Amino acid sequence: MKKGDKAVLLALAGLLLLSALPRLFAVKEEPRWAVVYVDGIERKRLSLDGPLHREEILAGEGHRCVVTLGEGRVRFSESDCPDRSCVAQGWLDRPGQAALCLPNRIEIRLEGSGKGGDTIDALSF
Amino acid sequence: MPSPSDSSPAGRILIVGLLSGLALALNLLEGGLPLPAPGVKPGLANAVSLMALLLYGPRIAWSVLAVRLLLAGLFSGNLFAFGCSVSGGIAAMTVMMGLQRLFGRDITAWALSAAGAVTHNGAQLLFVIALVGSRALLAYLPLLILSGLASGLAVGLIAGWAAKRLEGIRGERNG
Repeated sequence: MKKGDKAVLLALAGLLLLSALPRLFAVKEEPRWAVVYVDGIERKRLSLDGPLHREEILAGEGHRCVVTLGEGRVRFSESDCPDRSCVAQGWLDRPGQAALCLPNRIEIRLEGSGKGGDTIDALSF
Repeated sequence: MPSPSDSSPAGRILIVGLLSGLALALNLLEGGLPLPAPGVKPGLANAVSLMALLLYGPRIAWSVLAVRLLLAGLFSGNLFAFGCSVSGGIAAMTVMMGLQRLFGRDITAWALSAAGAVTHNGAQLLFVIALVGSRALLAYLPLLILSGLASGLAVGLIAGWAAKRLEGIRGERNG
């Protein structure tokens, strides 16, 4: 291994460790809210308590997504975007998780009861 | 493969055309693969950018990158994907070129490629964050660094071998 190779590997390993730090110290907690952002702006704050039900979210230019939520979890269940990978994303049930429908610029993010848990395990374009 | 000492405009156009075509074909091939998560992909087209950089230097490499980004963007017609690949591609090429200049012969193709791939993914994530204004997406960074590291190493090994082979062929013909 040459000098430059070692430098690059060291730098990348350091970067990986640094980026993973917040996750290593994340606090476990119950999900309480599904926060809906449209165009990056908070639109709705939906409680995850109670039975499963559906909620319509309207975005710009007549676009819409439908989310299903309740029993401590939430998912995209319908969308008029072309690839519908937001729906393929499935359920979110831990605080910090987020799913994203980029064509419609709609994001749902799970928030817990307290601090911490600002982590994402998966997201979907 | 044409020689890098062939600095005539026609020679340069030929090289850029060949490599851009190759990069676009790989891009298309990769588009058909199922991806485990958004942003996690092999980045085969970067092998061509890297080969261009190794064999012909920054000028040709930037030209190939520009042609590939522009045409791939036109083919897909997806402005969002275009923004992602432009931000990632330019950042990756800048870092690879900088490292090559900094270390010269003291760095191997796979290290250049790994650094480029991680930079690509990082820049892309920053672009998405800037677009949707959600800082929480930063938590996605470890996965993107890890996948960039893995795919970058693999792609870099391939590009390094290919460049070596092509250099050999060129040497025979011109030698």
